Amino acid sequence: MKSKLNLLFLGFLLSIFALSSCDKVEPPYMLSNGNIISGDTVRKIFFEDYTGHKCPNCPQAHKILEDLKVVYGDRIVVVAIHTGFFSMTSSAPWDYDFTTSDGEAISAFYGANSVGLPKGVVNRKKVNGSYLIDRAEFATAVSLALDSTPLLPEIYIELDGTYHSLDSTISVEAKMTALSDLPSGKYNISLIVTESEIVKPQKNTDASLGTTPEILDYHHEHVYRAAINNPWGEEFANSTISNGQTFQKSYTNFKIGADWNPSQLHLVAVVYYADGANEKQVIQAQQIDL
Amino acid sequence: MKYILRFSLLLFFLQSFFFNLSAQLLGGGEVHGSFQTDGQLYQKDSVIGAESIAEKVAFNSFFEMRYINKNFEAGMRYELFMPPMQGYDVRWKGAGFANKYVRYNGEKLEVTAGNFYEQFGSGMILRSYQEWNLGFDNALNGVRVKYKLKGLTITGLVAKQRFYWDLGPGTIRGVDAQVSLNEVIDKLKDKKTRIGLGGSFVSRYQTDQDPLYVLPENVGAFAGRFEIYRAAFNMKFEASGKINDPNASNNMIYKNGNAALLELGYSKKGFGMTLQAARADNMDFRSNRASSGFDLPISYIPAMTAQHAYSLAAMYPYASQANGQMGLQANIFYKIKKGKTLGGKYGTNININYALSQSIYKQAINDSTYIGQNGTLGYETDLFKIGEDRYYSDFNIKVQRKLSKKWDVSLMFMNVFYNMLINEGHQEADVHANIGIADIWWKYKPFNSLHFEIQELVTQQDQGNWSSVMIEYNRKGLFAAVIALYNQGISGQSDPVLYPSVTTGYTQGANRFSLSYGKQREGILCVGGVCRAVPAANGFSITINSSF
Repeated sequence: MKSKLNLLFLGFLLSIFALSSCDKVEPPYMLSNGNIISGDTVRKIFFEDYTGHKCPNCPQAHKILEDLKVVYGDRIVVVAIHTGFFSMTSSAPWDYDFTTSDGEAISAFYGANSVGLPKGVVNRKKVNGSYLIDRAEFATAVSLALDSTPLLPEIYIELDGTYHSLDSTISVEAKMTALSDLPSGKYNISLIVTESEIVKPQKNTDASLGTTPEILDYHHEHVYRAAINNPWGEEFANSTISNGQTFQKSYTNFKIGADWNPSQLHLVAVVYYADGANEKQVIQAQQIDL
Repeated sequence: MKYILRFSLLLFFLQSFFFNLSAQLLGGGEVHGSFQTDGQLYQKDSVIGAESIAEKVAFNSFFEMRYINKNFEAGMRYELFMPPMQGYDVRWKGAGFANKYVRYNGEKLEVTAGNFYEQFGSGMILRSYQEWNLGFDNALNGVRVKYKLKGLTITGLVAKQRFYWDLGPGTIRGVDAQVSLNEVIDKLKDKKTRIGLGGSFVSRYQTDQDPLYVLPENVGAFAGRFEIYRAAFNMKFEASGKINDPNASNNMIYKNGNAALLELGYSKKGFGMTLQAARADNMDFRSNRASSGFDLPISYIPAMTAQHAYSLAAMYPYASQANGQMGLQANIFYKIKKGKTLGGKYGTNININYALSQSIYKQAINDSTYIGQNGTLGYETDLFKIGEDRYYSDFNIKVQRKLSKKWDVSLMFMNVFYNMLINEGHQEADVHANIGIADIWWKYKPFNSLHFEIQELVTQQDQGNWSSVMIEYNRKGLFAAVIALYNQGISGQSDPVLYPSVTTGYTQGANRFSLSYGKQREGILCVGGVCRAVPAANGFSITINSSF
C-alpha cells in the first residue's frame, strides 16, 4: 500500500514537472522585421562568413545573414571568405577560384580552412571559447553583439573611396574619430575590398533556397577580394585614445583584379584592438559602395 | 621516441605510487582507479595523406581515482590532451581535473554532487557517458538524487553538461522512475514472469536571444518503457517524444519528435535470437540548440547494427541518425553440438546477423513549404511508412569451430551497403562491399600461440578493394604482431597503397602496455553509432593502461 502511495505521489510530481517545463510555440515561428536603426555613428559589427562554393549548407548560412540584414540593416558588415576543402576548384563549372591569399591568411588564423563549413566569426570575438561559430549560432551571436552593447560605438569611421577607371585603381581615405576614451594599446585599421553579385555555381541542400544539389547561377554576395593594407591591417594608434581624437589613413593606387566588376565593389573598414586582453576584437566596422 | 619512453616511465612510476598508496594509507576506505595514456608520433607521409604536427608527438591521457569509505565516495579524473591526437576535437587541448564528484550512498538515498553519468532507460531522452576512444564525454555537472524503495527507484537531477573544458549553455532537469512490478505487487512476487516499468521526463532550459526565431526556452522530452521476461523469452518496448525543439541539426523546424524501440529475445543453451525494430524521428536533443556533431547531446539513439571488431568489417560502420531512421535487426546464434556430423569434435558456433536502416517517410506540410524548411513544422510523416533511401544494411555470418586442442578457426562473410551521403556527408557513390575473413589460432604449446588473420574487402566504390594479413605471436602476457594492410585502389583514380605496421605489447594483470610502429589508414571509428573520423597517420604510437 505504501508503495502504491509512493507511485501516486511520483506520478503527481512528474505531471507538475512536465507541465511546467515545456514551452509550446505557436506559429508564426519567425519574427517579423525589427525597427532598423541607421546612421553612421551607430555600432556596426563585422561578420566573417567562412564559406565555399562546394559547401552544400552554405546557402543556408547566407540566408541567415540576409535575414539578419532585414533586422539590423547596415549594422552588419559581412565579408564572405571562401576557404578550405569546400572552396577547391575542379572541372567546369567549379573552376572559378574564389579564394585569395589575404583571405586564407585570416582563415588559417581561426582554423576555418580545416573545419566543416559554414562557420562565422562575429567581431573577431570568442563565443563560448571559440572564434568560429555554427550557422545556428549566427543570429544569437549577432544579437548579443548589437543588442547587448551601447548603440554608440567607441570609434566612428568615416570612409571615402573612389574607383579610377582609367588605371583600374582604388583610392581610400579613412578617418577615425574616438567617441569615448580608450585605454593604452595598439589599434589597427583593416581595409578590405568585397564584391557582390558574382554569378557562379554553388552547391546547395536546401530546396527552399534554390535547386539542389547545386544552383548554377547563384549570386555570391560580399565576396572577400583582397585586403588593401595587408590581411590584418595597419596600426593607426599606439597609445591611449581620448574622446574626440581623430586619426586618418589614406591609400592610393590599389589595383583591382582583372575580373572584378567595379560597379559591384564595396569597401570595408574594420577598426580593432591589436594587442592586450581584447586583441583582435573589433571596435567598429564600416562599409561603403565604390 | 625518447619522449614517449620517458613519459611512459614516469607514468608507470606514478601508477605504482598510487597503487601502494591505495593499499597502505587509507585505513577503512578503498581506493580504486584507472589510468590510460595514448601517444602518437606523427610523421608526414603524402602517400597515405598523413600530416605531421608542430608538436611532433600528441598525447591523450587520463588518470581517475575514487575513494570509497562506507557510505561515502569521492572521485576525480585528471585529463591531459597535449595536444589532442589527430582526429580528436582540437577543443580538447589542455589539461586539468575534468571530473570531480562526491557521493553519499545510503540504503535508501543516494546523493551525488559534481560530475556524474546517467542513463534513463535505453538513453532515448537522456544518456550521459564517456567514450575515451571517441574523444566523447557529455558528463553531467550538477546534483543527482536517487531514492531507492523496494522495487522502485526514483532519480532526479539538475545539471549542465560538460563541453570540452567548459559547460554547455543549457540546463538539464530530469526525473526517472523504474518499477519492478514483481517486487511492488505482492501477488506477483513469486510469478515466473518478471515485469518492469519505467518512465522519465527531461527538460532543457536555454535562453532565447535569437532575433529571427521565436524559440522555446524550455524543451521537454518524455519516455516510457516496459520490459517482460519469462523463462527463455524477453520483450522490451520503449517509446519517447519531444516537443518543438528547433535546432541546428533539424534545420530549425518546430515539429515534435518521437522514437520507439521494440526488442524480442529468446535464448536457451546453444540457441539464441533477438529481433529489434526501431524508429526515430526528429529526436536529436542537445543542451545547446545550436550544437551539432559530438557537442552536447542529451538523447542517445543507438545504431541498431552489429559492431565489428575486424578492421575491414569495421571499415564502413553505420552512424546513427537521430533525426530520422527506421531500422530492423535480427541476430541468431546457434551451436551445433559436438559429435554431430557438422559439429565436429568440440561443436561449432554459428552467428547470423542482419541489420537494415532506411530513411523515414516524409511529405510536405503544404504546397508552399518545402520538406524540412526552417521556421515551419518541417514535414509530415507516417509511423509505418518506410522512406525511400537506404542508409545501411549489413548481413554477416560467422562460423567458429575448435578443430583440436591446438587449432581454432573462425570464418566470416559480410555484405554491407553504406550510404555515403548519410554516413559521411559527401555526395559520392554508395558503397556495396563483400568482406571475407579467416581468423585462425594455433596454440602450438601451452601459453604459446600464433594467431593469423586474413581479411579481404571487395568493392567497386570508394577506394576499391582492401586486403589485410596479420600474424600475431602470443606468449603469456606478451604479444607481437605484424600487419600488412593493402589497398588496391581504383584504376585510373587512385594508386595502390600499402600500410605496414608492427605492434608489440605486454599485459600483466590489469596493466597493459603496447607500442606500434607503422602506417594507419584514414577511416571512421564508431562506438554505438557515434562516429569520428580517424586521419591517416605514420609513426610510433603507444598505449598504456592500467586499473587498480
